[in-house]
Amino acid sequence: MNKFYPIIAGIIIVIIASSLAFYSQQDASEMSVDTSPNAITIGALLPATGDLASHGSDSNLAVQLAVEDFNKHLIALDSDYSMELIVEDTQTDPVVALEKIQSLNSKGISLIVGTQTSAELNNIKSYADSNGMLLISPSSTSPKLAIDDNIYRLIPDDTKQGKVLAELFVYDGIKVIVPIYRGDVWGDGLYESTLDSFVSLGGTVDPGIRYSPEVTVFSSEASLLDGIVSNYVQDGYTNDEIAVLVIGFSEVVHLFNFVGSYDNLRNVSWYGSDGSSNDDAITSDKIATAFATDVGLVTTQFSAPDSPTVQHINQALIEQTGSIPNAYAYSAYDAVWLIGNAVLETGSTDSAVIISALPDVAATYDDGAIGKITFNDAGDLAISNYALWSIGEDGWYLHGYYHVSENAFDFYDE
Amino acid sequence: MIILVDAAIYATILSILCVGLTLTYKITNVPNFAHTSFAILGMYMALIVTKIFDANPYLAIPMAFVVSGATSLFLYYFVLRILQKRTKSFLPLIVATLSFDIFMIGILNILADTITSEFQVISRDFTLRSHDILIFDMPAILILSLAATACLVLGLYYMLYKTKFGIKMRCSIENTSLAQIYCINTQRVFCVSWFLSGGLGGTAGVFLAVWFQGDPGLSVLLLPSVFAGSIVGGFTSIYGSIVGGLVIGFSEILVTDLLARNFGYWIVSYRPIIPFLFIITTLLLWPRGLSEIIKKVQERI
Repeated sequence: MNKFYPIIAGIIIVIIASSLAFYSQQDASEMSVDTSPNAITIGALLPATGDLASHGSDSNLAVQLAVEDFNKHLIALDSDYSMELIVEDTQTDPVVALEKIQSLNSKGISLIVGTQTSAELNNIKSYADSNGMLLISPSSTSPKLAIDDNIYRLIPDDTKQGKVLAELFVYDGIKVIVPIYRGDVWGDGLYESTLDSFVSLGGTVDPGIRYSPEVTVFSSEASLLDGIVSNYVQDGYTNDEIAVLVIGFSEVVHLFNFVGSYDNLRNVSWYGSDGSSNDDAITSDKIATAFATDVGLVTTQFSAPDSPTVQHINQALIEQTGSIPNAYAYSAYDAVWLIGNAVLETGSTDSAVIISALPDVAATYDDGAIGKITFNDAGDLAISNYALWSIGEDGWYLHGYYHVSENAFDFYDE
Repeated sequence: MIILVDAAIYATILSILCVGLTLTYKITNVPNFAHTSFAILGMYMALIVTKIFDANPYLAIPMAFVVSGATSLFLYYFVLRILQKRTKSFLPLIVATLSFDIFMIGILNILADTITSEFQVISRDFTLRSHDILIFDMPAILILSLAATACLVLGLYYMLYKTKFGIKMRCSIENTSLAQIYCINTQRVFCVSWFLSGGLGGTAGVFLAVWFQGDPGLSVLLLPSVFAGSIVGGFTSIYGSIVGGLVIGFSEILVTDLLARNFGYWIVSYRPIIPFLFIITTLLLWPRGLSEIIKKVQERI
């Protein structure tokens, strides 16, 4: 009998190897690159998995839609160009993002939409700069990345979001903020900008809790957060004057699963940021949804003005996902069109040419989903309004708007 | 009180994992670096049962036990056993288990992607906590993980000391050559042990799914805690590993909480260091870990 064991082992190994080869083959076929001179090949570094997978999925669909629409536009112009897209899953992991950009570079792709997170962007920035690659991020907001480089960001940096959050706290009568935030370049940046803005408006910001992005269980964090809030209650602040600010991605689902057991934390208001705004991962979890509804969670995210392009994207993505896409999807859509228009404008697919032409191309791009695109000196979107999101019985709903030019809020009923 | 419940759940799950790791080390002298990947396989069994078959996650325990047990047996029979015949060196066996862990992470990633693409189910960073039920107004995970640990203690005692197979197992551990002279099929004993070890990992995985964020990469994050529990327990003592797992589990949560309250909340993001501190301290000061204390207690009894 024993002589058959190696044969059985061999068969099992062959089956596993064949499965792996099949998957690899599938990936390879999807990634074949058109090298003809009239091909505009765009790479997309977006997370299909990991903590920001939910937002990455919307951006991915929007990028695919944009490529489809731009190709129709090229046909209408009777252009010889054609656009194609190679999507890579960064897994919301800075290390994987670096591997993926290296992979795209080896295929000769230097025009890239991505990454979704600031931590990923921070890790691949040097590589992109030294290899002359263009990156247009639809969602990175860290103020630490607001520098002159090969990176454009179709979203304002978080000094603006921090100000909006601080204004919102003042509007709601909050006097003390207890932050719990993701310990990475994005979380640290938004924490600092919110702290600066709220303190300048006369509020108090507790040092709060900085958690590791690798955290898998929030027991200690929940217990400590409860202790901090309890101390402020004992100091004489009312529950209406204390709020918890959570700065995180989809891992806030797990945080909500743990904090719901603590009375102090259920009795104060909770606010969130763009990282968890309109995130289906929260509404697909019963405990997280119940907690967010109970505490009246309000999250902020940059908003796009209502336009035919936004409606077109909404219609296409709602058909595929069943829900309104995240605002980052609009930026991702526009990123593809900016690259395409820059190629048509300059007649070149060379990344150095596109990088220098992009601000002028953006200035003349009037049909964008995110409205008029004006870059600041750091290559980030200079100005934008912000949407306020909440969770109700039917999921996420638009709670209100913050109009930057008027420095005022508009609130809606559910 | 709430944090004690959280710590108890984490500690008992860790204990079950530590027993599995220690069992295979004690029997075949191989520190299995792929052990936590069997637990993650169990997590995915729980996800499949809960989200695809719309059933209670705990119903996945039998399936998780068998699938993870079979995977563990595969590792032993088709990789480690063959290597042990070819070399007496320790190193190739360690490298083999490390390689198998990487292989398992790949398989788990394929499984996760397939679950998402075929069934539109979130298969990374998922939690099944909202599918837990209440028993006596307590989360079922607490009662069941405690019950599983208690059953493990009693079951292992019964198997090792009250059954013929247990006697054969102890003989095989003490002196394999002598056991073979007495016509004990040591290979069968080793195979059963590896199957049992993987099965325990799979069972712990189902509990993990109800309490942790499930992800193919979680095995790497869990490994230091499981090794710390086994090392603190003495690494060759089954009962020591149970106590070691409890010590590490409670410490990771309660000590972090205590340190953060006294020295600052910045400590929270450095919690993963705690198991490493236990490993270093134990190896430097008490290389035989808690097993020595347990042995003295057993001798007194």
